[in-house]
Amino acid sequence: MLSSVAERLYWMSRYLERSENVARLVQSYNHLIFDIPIGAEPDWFILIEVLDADETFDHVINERNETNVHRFLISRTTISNSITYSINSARENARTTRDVLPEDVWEQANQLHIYASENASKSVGRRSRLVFLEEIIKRLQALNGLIESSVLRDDAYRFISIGRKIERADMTARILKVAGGDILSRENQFIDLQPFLWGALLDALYAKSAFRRIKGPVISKEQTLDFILNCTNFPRSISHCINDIDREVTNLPESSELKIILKRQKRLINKYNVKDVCFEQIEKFNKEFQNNLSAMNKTLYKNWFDR
Amino acid sequence: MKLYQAKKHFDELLTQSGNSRRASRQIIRWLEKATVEEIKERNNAASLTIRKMGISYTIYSEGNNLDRAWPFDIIPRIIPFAEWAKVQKGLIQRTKALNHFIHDVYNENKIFHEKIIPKELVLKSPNYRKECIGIKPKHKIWAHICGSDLIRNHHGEFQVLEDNLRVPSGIVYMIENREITKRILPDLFSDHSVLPVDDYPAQLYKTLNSVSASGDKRPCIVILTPGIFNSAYFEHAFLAQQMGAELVEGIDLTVSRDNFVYMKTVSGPLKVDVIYRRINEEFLDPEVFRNDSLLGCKGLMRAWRQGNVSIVNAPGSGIADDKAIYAYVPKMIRFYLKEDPIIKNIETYLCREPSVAQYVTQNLDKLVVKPVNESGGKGILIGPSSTSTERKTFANLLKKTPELFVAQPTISLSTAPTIIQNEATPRHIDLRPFILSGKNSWVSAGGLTRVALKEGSLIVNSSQGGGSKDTWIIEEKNNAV
Repeated sequence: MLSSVAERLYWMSRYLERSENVARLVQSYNHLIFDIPIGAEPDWFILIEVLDADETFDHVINERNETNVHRFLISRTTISNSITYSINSARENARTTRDVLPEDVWEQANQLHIYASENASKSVGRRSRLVFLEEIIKRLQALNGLIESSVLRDDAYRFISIGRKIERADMTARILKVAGGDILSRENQFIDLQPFLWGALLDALYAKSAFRRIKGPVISKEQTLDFILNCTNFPRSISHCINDIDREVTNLPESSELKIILKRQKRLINKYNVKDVCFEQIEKFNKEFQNNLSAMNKTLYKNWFDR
Repeated sequence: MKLYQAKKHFDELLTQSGNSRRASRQIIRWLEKATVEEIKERNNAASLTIRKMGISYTIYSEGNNLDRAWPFDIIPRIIPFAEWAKVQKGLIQRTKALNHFIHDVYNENKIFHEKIIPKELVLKSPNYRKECIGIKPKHKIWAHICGSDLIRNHHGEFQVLEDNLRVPSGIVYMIENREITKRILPDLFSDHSVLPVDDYPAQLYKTLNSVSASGDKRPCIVILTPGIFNSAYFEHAFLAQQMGAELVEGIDLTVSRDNFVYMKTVSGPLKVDVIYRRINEEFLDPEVFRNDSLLGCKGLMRAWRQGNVSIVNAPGSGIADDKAIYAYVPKMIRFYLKEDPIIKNIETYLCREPSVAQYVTQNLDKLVVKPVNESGGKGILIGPSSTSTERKTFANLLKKTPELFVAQPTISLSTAPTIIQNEATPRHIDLRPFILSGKNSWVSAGGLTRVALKEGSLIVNSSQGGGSKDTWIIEEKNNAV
């Protein structure tokens, strides 16, 4: 496998995952806001904070309001966190790696790009936004399903899988920090809403029904955190992502350096205490976790992409 | 839908009186019955399919707009198999002679000794590479992939307009055009017995395999592309995907001290046996050719000269697609193969002769003048449709550098019904078949039919507003109604 191709596959996969994660996040947040009594709802800007894009946002947009937040996340083609940008980049990377991908993957990525570029700018308003997000998510799910069911399990697949899991773990950790942090800060303010808000957080991670099957119908802070961090059987939990990366990496040549970082990640997750967790703890965890993720990214370049 | 009478030019599907030719009966009947709505519908279906499949090509002048959808005409062009079989033979004969010629030019020089072709015409050509002297590629094949442009004159006879031996492109559109037709005209398609075209990648793989520098059963084959900004990138990716070859750029390759070529992979360097290069040779190796090239790789020529890697087409092949050399191809065929040419050339005036240059200058309004070493329809003067300023420019060029130009009589290109604004109108077309040469020779079934979409225009290049058609080589059933 060519190093340059490995790098592009890795980014194609990260951008696919990112666009789905952002779409899902915006979608579930919209549902949440509709359900909350007026006056108690959290701010739309939290969506920007999850993506750590506060500075960029204030730089290019003058007012923090609902429409602008959605314009930023849905239709801005120059913002690396926006859905449109991520889809364009995924498609561009698929275009330059189509020699190793099944034909259908390129065709679907291309059609997704056509749909997004034709509809994004008219899907910022409340009425059309949810239809757009639903369609985008459906298409991304189909594309991921296609990749899972048709890509040969060789190095190409390994880099696709690693890219997806790194992006997913990254997003899960960010949601945990920002959304979780927001919920914690309201602990005394909105006692009645707590289970509801944790439920919304689970929903943004496709985790609600899986949670119920394992933990039962009552949603609490401790159980939610435990599930998102430690449930190794749930494909979006942080442990699951890290274990998956670990497994894929095993089959790559010269993987020892990355293995060391993965071990560090696992230790970090294990020592996390979900009892009586406070915002500072979440923040500290996230910081260390993100540092390790970027170390992983660097190692990928050093050992495989830049060879 | 009303059709037309092909009065002025030879038409591929219709006769002078407006009847269908024998092989095109069904398709003409179908066209005559079709309503405007139906044509519109199929046309829309075609555009949609093209967009969905992501078939595109790039135009350099369009700034950010990287790929454009491929312009496609839904009415196929039809050639009966019996007629095609003869053309195939002619093409194989021609590429054989061309390969003999290239090998001879860089080795024994027999053709100069026998004074068939003036030596200085070859040695002074900008396409002649002295770096290639003495090289003996496997099977003595230099131009493994050749795309020859054929036209039909007003008698309906195929002639060769030019041979492209450097990096001919267009094969992917031949294959995709068929894919589109199958999706939008399934009814019409299944009424005919059409030769398939999608075996090209397999044949190309066999050809590349047969010239591999190593003895491996599955040699390492790469396609060397200039990258995503190249107009034919879509094709490079398609061929790599279909052959299971690696698509590489110059930066993915290195040449070792002992002159082997390696590509950078996630498991370290891997030896490369065959490079199907889709970059022009002047960019191939900054050590030997243009030293500012970022597209190629240092040392490729060293590796090639040592026989450690095969380069396809071999550097130096361009000498045979020089438009001045073109005039001598019939003589080459007689000299190397002792055969008469099966497909004719077009009469060509070499402006390097002062008397010829004078004749050409005086008749600029009637002739087509071409630079000897350009491709893609660039820098051409088409006399009858030129302005006086353009003619003046060319008269000056002919005075300064006559040896860089050839002239040909304005030829008549055949026409075929083409849908323009929901009507079937005649448009000029040509044909680019692809000829593969390795241990064996092979010719595509048909090729890429290119259409000049502007009324009366003879320029079919996609970079200048040309479109394309699916090309059907059909076996006629004797008892067909």
